[in-house]
Amino acid sequence: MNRALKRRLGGLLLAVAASVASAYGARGFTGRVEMRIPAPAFRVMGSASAPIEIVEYSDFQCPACRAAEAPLRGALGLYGYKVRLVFRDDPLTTIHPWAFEAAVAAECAGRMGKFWPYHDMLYDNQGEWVSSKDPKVFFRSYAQKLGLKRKAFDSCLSSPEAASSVRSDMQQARNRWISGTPTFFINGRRFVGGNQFASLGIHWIDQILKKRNTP
Amino acid sequence: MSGSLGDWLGFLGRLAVGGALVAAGALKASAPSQEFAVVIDAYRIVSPGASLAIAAVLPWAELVVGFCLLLGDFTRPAAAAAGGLVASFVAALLSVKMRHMELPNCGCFGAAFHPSLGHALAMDAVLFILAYAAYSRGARLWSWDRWASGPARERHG
Repeated sequence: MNRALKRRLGGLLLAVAASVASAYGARGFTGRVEMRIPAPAFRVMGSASAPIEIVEYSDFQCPACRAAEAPLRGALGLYGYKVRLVFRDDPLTTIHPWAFEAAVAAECAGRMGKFWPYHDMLYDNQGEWVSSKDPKVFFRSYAQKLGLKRKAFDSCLSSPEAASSVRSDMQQARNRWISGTPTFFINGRRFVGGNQFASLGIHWIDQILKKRNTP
Repeated sequence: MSGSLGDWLGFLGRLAVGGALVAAGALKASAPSQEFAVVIDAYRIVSPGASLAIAAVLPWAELVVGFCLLLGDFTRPAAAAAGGLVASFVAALLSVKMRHMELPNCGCFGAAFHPSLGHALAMDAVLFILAYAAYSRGARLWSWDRWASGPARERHG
């Protein structure tokens, strides 16, 4: 190998090293320590011993999250007891003005024992409350339909604890480099959006079950 | 350092295309590849599996080609690769335009900056011309290639 080629290959190595450094530099190291704070039990559906764990980071005001509900519900129906679903809040407050309030309302419904039906109502009626000037009217009416006590629900909506729980999830989402919703982690592997979940995610679930001999 | 106008244009082309590719690559490589794959999926050109593979490889290709251009190392192959990348971006954008599709994000710079379809096409057209300038004259001024070739060629090159 002649000296010129050696030098040029040295330059190529320098370019590769600079590439790695700039990608990690752009990612930023500050405040991104991944901490796994368990989700409240009411936001977990399925058995702790299920071989598949789906962690969903979602935003109640996001249309893509609503669209992803169909394949997600389909997967839950298909795999049944083999799947455990953990719901995490990641309201994208910069583009969805009511997403945080909706997450707090669902949190409150959860504390009163009705997280999943309330979660479904928020997605199923998304078109109605997102365009409202005061979506809290709808949040209260959904709570009422589920038989939640108005006073206790209202008191929870303004409590710092419910908001703090949502903020904690948002921080975790940031620490896991989530910038789009919905983002799913299926046994730790990331899938972004309903399409990735429905195509690659389901394939990944099948692979895991096949490896574990759990058809 | 002396040089003709063409040499300077080649040098500036190298810096501009290299800088743009490094910025685009770093912003995309810094995020999980699955997020960039969603953007590629929106073009509806390749399958979700292929989108994920492209999303994992493309940002790193942009970075390495970009840094090679900035350094002026393997300048001609790097400029040709940059031209190829930019041409493929133009083709993908034109196919979106021809199919009257709406893209929420062209994916050019990850999640950081979302130029419109027209702006992205204009930017890529300029980058293609600059990549050609870098290909034809880019190694003549302040380049690693020139240093690697040794002092004798530098005097007469």
